Amino acid sequence: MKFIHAADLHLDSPFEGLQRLPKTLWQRIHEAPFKATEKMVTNAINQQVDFVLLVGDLFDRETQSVQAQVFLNEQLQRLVDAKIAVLVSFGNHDYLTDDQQLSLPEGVRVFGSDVTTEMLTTHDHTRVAISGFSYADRWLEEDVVPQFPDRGPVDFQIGMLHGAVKQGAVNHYAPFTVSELAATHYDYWALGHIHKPSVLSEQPPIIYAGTLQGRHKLESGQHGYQLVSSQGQQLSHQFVPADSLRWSSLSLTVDETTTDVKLIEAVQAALKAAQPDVFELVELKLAGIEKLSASLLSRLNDGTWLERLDQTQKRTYQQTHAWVYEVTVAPTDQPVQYAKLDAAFWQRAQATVFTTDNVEMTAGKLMQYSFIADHLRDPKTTVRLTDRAKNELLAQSRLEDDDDADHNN
Amino acid sequence: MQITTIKIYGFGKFHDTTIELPDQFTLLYGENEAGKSTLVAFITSLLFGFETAKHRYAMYRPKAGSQYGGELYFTHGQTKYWLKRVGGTHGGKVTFRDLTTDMPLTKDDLSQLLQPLNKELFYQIFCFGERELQAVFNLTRFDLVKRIQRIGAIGSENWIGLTQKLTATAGDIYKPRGRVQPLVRLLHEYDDLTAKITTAKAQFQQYQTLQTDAQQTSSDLTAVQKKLTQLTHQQDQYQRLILLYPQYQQFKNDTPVSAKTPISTADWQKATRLTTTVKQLKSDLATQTETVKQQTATQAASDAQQFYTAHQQTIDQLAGQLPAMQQSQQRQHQTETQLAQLDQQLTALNQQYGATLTNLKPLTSSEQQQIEASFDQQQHLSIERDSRANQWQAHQKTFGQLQQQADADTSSGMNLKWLVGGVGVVLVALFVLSGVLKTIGGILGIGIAAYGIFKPIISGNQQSAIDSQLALLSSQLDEDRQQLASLDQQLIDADAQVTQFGAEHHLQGFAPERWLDLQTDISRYQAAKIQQKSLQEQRNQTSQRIQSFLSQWQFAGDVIDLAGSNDQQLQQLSQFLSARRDEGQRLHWANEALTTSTQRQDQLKQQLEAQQTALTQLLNQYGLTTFTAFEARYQQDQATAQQNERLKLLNAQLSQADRQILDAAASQTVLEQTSQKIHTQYLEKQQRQSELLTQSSQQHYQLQQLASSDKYQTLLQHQADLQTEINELTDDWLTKKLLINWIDQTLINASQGRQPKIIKVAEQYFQALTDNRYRQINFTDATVQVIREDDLTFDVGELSSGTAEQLYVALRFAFTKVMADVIAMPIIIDDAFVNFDRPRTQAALKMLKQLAQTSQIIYLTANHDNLALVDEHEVYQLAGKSV
Repeated sequence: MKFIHAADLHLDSPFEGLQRLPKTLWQRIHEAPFKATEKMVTNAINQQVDFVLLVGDLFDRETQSVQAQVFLNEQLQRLVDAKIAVLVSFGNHDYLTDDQQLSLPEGVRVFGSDVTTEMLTTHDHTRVAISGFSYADRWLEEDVVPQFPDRGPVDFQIGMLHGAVKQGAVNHYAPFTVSELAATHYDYWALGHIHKPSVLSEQPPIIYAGTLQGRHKLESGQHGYQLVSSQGQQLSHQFVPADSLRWSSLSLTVDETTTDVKLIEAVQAALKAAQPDVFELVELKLAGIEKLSASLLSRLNDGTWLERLDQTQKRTYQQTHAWVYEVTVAPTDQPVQYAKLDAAFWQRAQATVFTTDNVEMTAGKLMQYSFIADHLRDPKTTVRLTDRAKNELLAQSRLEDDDDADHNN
Repeated sequence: MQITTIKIYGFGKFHDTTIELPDQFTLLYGENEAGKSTLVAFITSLLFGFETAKHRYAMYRPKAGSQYGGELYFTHGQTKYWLKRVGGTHGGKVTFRDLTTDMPLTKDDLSQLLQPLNKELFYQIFCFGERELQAVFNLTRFDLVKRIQRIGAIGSENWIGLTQKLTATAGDIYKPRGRVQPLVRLLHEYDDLTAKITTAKAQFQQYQTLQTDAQQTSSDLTAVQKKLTQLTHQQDQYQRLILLYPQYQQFKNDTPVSAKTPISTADWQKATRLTTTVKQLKSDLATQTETVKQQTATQAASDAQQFYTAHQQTIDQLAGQLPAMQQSQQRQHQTETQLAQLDQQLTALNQQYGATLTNLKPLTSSEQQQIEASFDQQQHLSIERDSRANQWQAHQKTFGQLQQQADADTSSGMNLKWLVGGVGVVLVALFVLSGVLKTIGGILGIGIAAYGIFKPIISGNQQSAIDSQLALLSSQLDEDRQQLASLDQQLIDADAQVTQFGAEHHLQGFAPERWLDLQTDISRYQAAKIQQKSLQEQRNQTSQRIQSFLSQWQFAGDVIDLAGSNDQQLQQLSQFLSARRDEGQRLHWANEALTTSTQRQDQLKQQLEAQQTALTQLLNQYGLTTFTAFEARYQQDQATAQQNERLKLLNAQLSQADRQILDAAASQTVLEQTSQKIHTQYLEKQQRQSELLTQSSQQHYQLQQLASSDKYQTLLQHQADLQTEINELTDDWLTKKLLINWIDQTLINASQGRQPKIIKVAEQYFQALTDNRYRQINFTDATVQVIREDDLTFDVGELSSGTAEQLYVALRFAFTKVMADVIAMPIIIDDAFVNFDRPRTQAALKMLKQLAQTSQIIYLTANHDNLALVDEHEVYQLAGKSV
């Protein structure tokens, strides 16, 4: 018995955190989720798996596109044609509604909003019971695990669950605990919702397959699906990468000798040395900026340097197999050069100024845009803004120094 | 801290200079270029270190060879220190000593002592420059308030400057009401994009709807197609029934008619065949009869032929002789020709001899010998006579010549011809010629004339010889004359002999010399005459024979119109016979053809009879006489049979339903109406089908279009990219805004922390500066207020600019005072009041004096007037260029 566990295809969702990409690269990125899905399906057919589990978020209701829909149907049809059973449970993004307009190919089994169980007998006459459910709404705050049936008289019992581990008081996505799942004595828990592939438990296997293709920098590392096969009464699982783009980061340390060109060369050299087998979208992290010349620092801060790097990248990214999409300047370790006598005042002011509330207030009208609001409400943004302000202060004070030096004669 | 002595080894323009500062307040006077700023730099450099090479101009390395650096003596917290700093690494080499305890100290000790100050902070807190105050005076009211509010923070001026710069940069990125800033533009773009996405998002809904519609169309189509099939069947049924309706009615009304004995098709075919044959035969017979008639007509023989036939035996016999006759006639022509030739020959001979030769007989050989001998004698005599005659003639001639000669010699004198000629020549020579020619001519002429004169004399001596010869010759001449006469007589005899012979032989008509030659022609002539005669006889015989042959044909005179020459008549006969042969042949063939035709005619007649009999028999079988009747009967029988057949078929065709429809229909028209209705329905459905097909293909096309379009996803990705860009720019902008906020907040915090003290001090200063017109300063969150001595409260904004500036100066010095209480450092004022009027400067100095009670004041000025405002011992004059 062999099956594939995949989740969070998110065929409709765009890539985030990218800008000013060359057209061909953009095309490549656009195709990546489709390629990943196609690869998974092809492998399923080649591996002659018995069934494929798709644990939610195949697409996004909010941004559902015809193309993605048609593509998904084509791919699922390939599986159906290859006599591979396809079991789909919808998640919080592709939740099932009464006026369900989505028409998946005939032969694909879709779980309803209540937990039900599908019975299968595989080619090697293994009897498999698969229990699961689909979201009926954007949120599902209750723990659904108790609704899953007891283990039946089958060779393998599998649970499909799109949700997140219970954390704190409010949980929106079918909260559960690992111990709770383990207690069901199921042979495999196929989880969806979390995009990072992760194994919550080996025995029994409780696994997030992760998304097939990472879409932003938080979804770094390789992505793919789980290929699970039985060995006797045991199930062994194997992660199979399916992505054609990977998000990664590159850390470089700069010093007083670093110039614009040298830094570009250093980045290029590091990318060449890395030689990734899958195309990488790289976040460049720079450390040691307090040593940099004030002008380069300000060019790093205001993005001019990255634009310059882009010119080089456009020529070389096909060879380096990587694209630097962002530069993060790590805040300096050394305290900012403000008046020591007033250091306490600076710190007190910083505490009041760099708060999410103040960020929102300062943003003012910009908060009307929900994506900006979301971005600014993220505590990480505040932290980053603080770092950047410090960097800016550093750069400015340095520029002042330089200016003073020019003035004093 | 109080600096007591400044000792400069070399710094900027100073070298080996010592300045003593014994008091708390010192006014250092120096004109421009005297080195006031350099002095300030020297003090700060000594305390905090020399500038690095990075700030070359702030280093003040001495131009002359003096050592870079100097010394400071100062008191700090009751302890006296000595500080020496000379050029070296890390801000210079420091020698530091506690003079009170006389203990050497380190550079770190110095830093410790100055903690937490650095050069920058020192400048910010304790140094006042003209620039700093001047800048304040140029501020707007609002900015001034801000400055005043933030005065409690260290370096607030610089920080405020930075915030202003940041505000400008932030404004370049985004302004909430802006139009052109990049973030504003991006947001507009985002709005547009969002609108597009909303539109594009409808695609999905559209797709779903289309899918449903397409399914509906498909099922509609199936229904319509089913209905169409049904209608087609119905229509076919009605079409069929409409056709069948009359028959059906007939079938219902009539029972099939049964004929007696219907004419079988075989018989009908037979009869038809026979009729056709008879017709054909009749036609053939008619043609044949006509042919015979024509042939008979052409067979009649001509009269000539009839005559020929009547006398065939005679004619054939005569005709057998005709070739022989023709041959004879041919020969006759040859004979004629020969005769003509002979005639010619004879005529030619007669003409040749100018007389007829008819009477002449050829000479016999003896006669010929006789005549030949006569001729020989004659000839002989003739020759002799001729020679005698010749001799006589010669003698005569000689005689004549001699006689002549004798005559000439006696009779002639001078020859005149020659004489006249010679005279002529002389004359010519005389008159015409000249020179030598004249002479020659003359001589020649004379010669000629002489010849004429002397010629007769020359020939006179020959005369006697001639006379003898003449006598001799005369005798000979007589002899000759006798002989000639004898000879002539002999010749006459010979001639008579010949003439006699000629007469004997009738040859007198001919010259005797031709007689012998004539003999041959006479013989030929005689032969020709004989032949002529024989031929003439032959000709006459043949002619006679032909005449007799021709005369035998007289009996056919009417038929053969014989006339003309024998030739012509024979020709006519030949033609006649040939014509008869031809006609005979032709008649023979005509007769042959006629015979065949007649036979054929008979044959046809027989056949016709047979066929007609057969036909009549066949017709009789059905009791009919004519074929027409037979034919009509047959057609009728056929129709009946067909009808019966059709009825049978109709019966078989009709289903129960058909019968019902047919029975229900009152008339064919009713059926047709129903059929028409069905047809209309059919057309409607067909129309509907075609509509549905179009619709379906449109829907499928649209579905395909939608499915293949990645527009929506492209837009989404574009949106995501734009969001990134906007967030990035927002972060940029926010960073600056927050930084401004941060700086501002820090300044406010710092100011507020020091406010009570600063205000307290500032109030005193402000009173001093305003001559006690104002007595109180209040800080609020929004602004600063001052209370006048008359208890009226003024917002800073309400103050005159001068007063506002005084307030600033008061606060600024108050700040320094407060800070100096914490860190006691000398306050250095570098011509800060340069723009103050005299009373105000006075007030300021009064304030400084007050300040000097707690802090050392070093006041550098280039204004000489200021010297009057302070005590003399407080003044130190810098060695300027005037010194």
